[in-house]
Amino acid sequence: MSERVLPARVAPPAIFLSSISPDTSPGRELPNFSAPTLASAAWAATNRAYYVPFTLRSSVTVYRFFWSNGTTSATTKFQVGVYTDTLKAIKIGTQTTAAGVSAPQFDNIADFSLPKGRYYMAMHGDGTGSHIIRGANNFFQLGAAGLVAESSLTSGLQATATAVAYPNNYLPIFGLALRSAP
Amino acid sequence: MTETILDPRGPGLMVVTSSAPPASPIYLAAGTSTIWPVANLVMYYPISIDSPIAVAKMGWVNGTTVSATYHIDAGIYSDTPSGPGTKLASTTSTAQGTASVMQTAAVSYTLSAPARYYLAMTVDNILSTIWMRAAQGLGTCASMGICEETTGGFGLPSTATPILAAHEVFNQVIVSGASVI
Repeated sequence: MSERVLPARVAPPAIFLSSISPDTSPGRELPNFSAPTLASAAWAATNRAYYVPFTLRSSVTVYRFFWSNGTTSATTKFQVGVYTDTLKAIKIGTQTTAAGVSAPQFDNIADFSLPKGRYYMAMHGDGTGSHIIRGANNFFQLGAAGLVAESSLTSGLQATATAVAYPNNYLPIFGLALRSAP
Repeated sequence: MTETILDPRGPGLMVVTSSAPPASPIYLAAGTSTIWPVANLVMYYPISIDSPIAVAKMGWVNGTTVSATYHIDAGIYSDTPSGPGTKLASTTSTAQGTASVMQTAAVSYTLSAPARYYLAMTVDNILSTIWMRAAQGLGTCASMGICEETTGGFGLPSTATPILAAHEVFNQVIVSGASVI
């Protein structure tokens, strides 16, 4: 009799792989702390970007980016992207004016594949008028989970991020949609 | 020659629910007895499994107001790039049973893995209560990829025609590989 060891079976990630999905650092870490209730709040700072680490254990096709608009919609433009684990851009979405309230908004980018690996998902806002659904976790908890940020990005997300330590109690809900609709 | 194939992770869980990872309900309020918001509303919850499950039962947790005149249907749908697709199995119409306990019904279907599916549930009235996480009105179900459908009649459709969830209905639909649960 012989034995053959197969690669470990891996469950697919969340269909909407968001900044609080179990495939992300906050999704794994924050349940161990006192996770606050989600609430609507203005984007924290003009031209700030947040970077959330996540891991893919199997390859996926990314169909859309999304973010969760809050209860106030103004003229703020939001943008979502995906970066390597060394903060080099893989795909950057379009800066898009927030529209609609209390529901996800999508950026229908050209479909692309992401192989298994470690990445960051990034979100940028160019103003503080529009609200986003966010957790108000302490910034040091978010930093401990590996999240980083970048400020003064007047042209949105860049090809290479120059991130710094997490600055404030703010975890926006955004991410990658792994289906084309709805 | 006999060959033994080993999976270094061993078998996966025998019972999976709509609130298990990769769902991310960590920010939702605690569960409570809540009315189904719209008669015949179908909710679709994405799940992922890493090991096959020979499903023997499906279920849900009843709230405090129940009646045998209320009916529930819970089922499993295939995953497509456009969300839930074809109905694979369901409990069919089941009279709601005892208040404040888990209720199950027999289902026979084997889920292959690793794969993603959608667990679905519908209720034929708006008086029946189910144990659910509290609604926040912030699109939190939609941001988890949860879908819904109103079919115009009671029961789970053979093919889903989903839209993104507009209702904040996060309940625990259960699939069990164990016949006793």
